Amino acid sequence: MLPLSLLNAAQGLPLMLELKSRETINGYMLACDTFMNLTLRDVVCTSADGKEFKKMDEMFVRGTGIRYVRVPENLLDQIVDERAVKREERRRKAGQ
Amino acid sequence: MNDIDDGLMPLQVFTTAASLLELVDKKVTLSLRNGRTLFGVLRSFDSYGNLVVQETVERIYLEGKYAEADRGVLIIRGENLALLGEIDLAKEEELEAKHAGLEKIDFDQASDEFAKRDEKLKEDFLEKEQIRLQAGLFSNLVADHPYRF
Repeated sequence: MLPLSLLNAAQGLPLMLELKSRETINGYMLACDTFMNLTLRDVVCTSADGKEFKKMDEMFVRGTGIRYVRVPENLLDQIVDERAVKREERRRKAGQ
Repeated sequence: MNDIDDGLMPLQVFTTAASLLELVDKKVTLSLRNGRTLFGVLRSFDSYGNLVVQETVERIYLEGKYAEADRGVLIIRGENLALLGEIDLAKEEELEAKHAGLEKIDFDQASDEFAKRDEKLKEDFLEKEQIRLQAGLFSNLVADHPYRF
């Protein structure tokens, strides 16, 4: 599971991102691309000092400005499990 | 280090991002370029050095104190990474013993103190830089530049 495919799999899910400018952004991810550019929906943007909050309906974040993205805890395990199931299915089909 | 010794390829073939291959699923420590330190399990990486880290904990160490906060699953953009190292599980107990001697404080408070210390570093650097420039010298970026800004 490459980092960018994990990000891809997080589409529609709530994310928390920290920018290099120390601002944090919480919202639901609509889409992402290979540059890590993101579009988000229902966004709350927290200033670097954590004292100001801005609410936005939609937002575009340029990938180069991102420090890290926090994805839901269970997503990674869920994908790993799904892949294991698929692999098992494929193996069974190949065996038939 | 490399287990892949089939006699066909020289050892230590992987030198760039691929050298992280043997650290996958291991407990690692990360230093980011902003000076923050993370601990977690490395799950994946790509050629940009982007990482996926699970069960991440962020720790701030100050003099005689420390603070930590859970960060869950993180996708870290590679360019922010300064250092990544494997944690020796045998020595982890020692680390925990050291923690017992430190006072655990609130993360937000530690974060503020850390930011202040950072600000101080920045001021000191700019002051030295000013002296150097006045003396007609080149700036000494390598020796003094606190990498975080």
